[in-house]
Amino acid sequence: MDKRGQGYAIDMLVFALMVALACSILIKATPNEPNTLNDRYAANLATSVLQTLQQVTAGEVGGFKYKPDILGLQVPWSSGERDLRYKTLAQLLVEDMLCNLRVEVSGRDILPLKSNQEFDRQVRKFLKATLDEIVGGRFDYRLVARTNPIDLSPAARVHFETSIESFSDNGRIQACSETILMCLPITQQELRSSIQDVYSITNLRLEPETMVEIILSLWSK
Amino acid sequence: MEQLQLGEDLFATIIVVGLTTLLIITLAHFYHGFARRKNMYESFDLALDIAGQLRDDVLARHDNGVFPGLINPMTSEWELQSYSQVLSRQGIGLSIEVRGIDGKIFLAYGTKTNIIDQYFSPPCSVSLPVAISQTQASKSLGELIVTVWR
Repeated sequence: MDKRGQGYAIDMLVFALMVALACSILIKATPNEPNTLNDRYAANLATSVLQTLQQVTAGEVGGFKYKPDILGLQVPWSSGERDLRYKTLAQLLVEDMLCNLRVEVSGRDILPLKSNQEFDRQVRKFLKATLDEIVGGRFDYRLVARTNPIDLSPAARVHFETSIESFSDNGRIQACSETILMCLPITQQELRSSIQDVYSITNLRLEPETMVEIILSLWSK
Repeated sequence: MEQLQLGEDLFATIIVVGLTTLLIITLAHFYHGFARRKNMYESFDLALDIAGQLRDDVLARHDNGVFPGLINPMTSEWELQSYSQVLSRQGIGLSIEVRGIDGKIFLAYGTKTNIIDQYFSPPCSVSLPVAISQTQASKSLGELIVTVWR
């Protein structure tokens, strides 16, 4: 190989280097970021799940029954099990809120307004099983349900917050978070009298409708 | 700039031609991978949009209104056909399946692509959980599977 031939070979090596560079750029380059698509799918899935919770009746996912209790004790005069198969999953969650509203004084929970812990336990177990089936295989999830706090006095308020999750938070980046709003299935008058039954507050001012926020957040597995 | 003169150095020429061919094949291979990935992402994006429209509108029409997320398994063939025709005018093929959690198929529409079509334009599927309206009081859990291809 003479000097000119060596020159051509070196030119080709430089060319090869440029092509290798182009290939590596093509490997890295994607038209849409996969993470963006994953987040879009997660948002769509979360919306679907929240819509499904509002529509599917408990009877269609195995049925829902529980024995009423007050502060962890069975109610002796109760007729037995309550069968709520005709309620939607979201209605069960909202009813759980209503049955387990908590009173907080100076940032500390003191006692539930009218506790029904067995119902709370059963609803959480039931919803977790359903969410595991719908979402569990694809994403990690956290479902948070909470009411807007109702102020009884500057220091005291009535509220409810619960969360059902499939994992412990370890600082991963959240894929999406979707929210729906529902109303507590109780009139302002009924809510006022149920609070006043326990606490003698005369000038209790309530919002026209107490809203419930149901938030579903998803994390990639 | 010097011209490449064939025959001047046979060994150098063979190296030049061999390397060029190899590099062009490599580049073509990577470009094919890039184009396939691009196509897959676009199809998935499209499938997500179509699944959302079907879930919230086309399949959610009931006698008493539209209920997003609640699938009407009695949706008429005509409605699905007219929606599918709008897509096919844009060169998009569509197949829909709604099945319960037990695997029972409540609604199926569209044809599957054959193997040759799948090679040139691989289909892309999206599945979303939905509620299926069976009776006024009973709404079961199910899955909407949408497959699209170009």
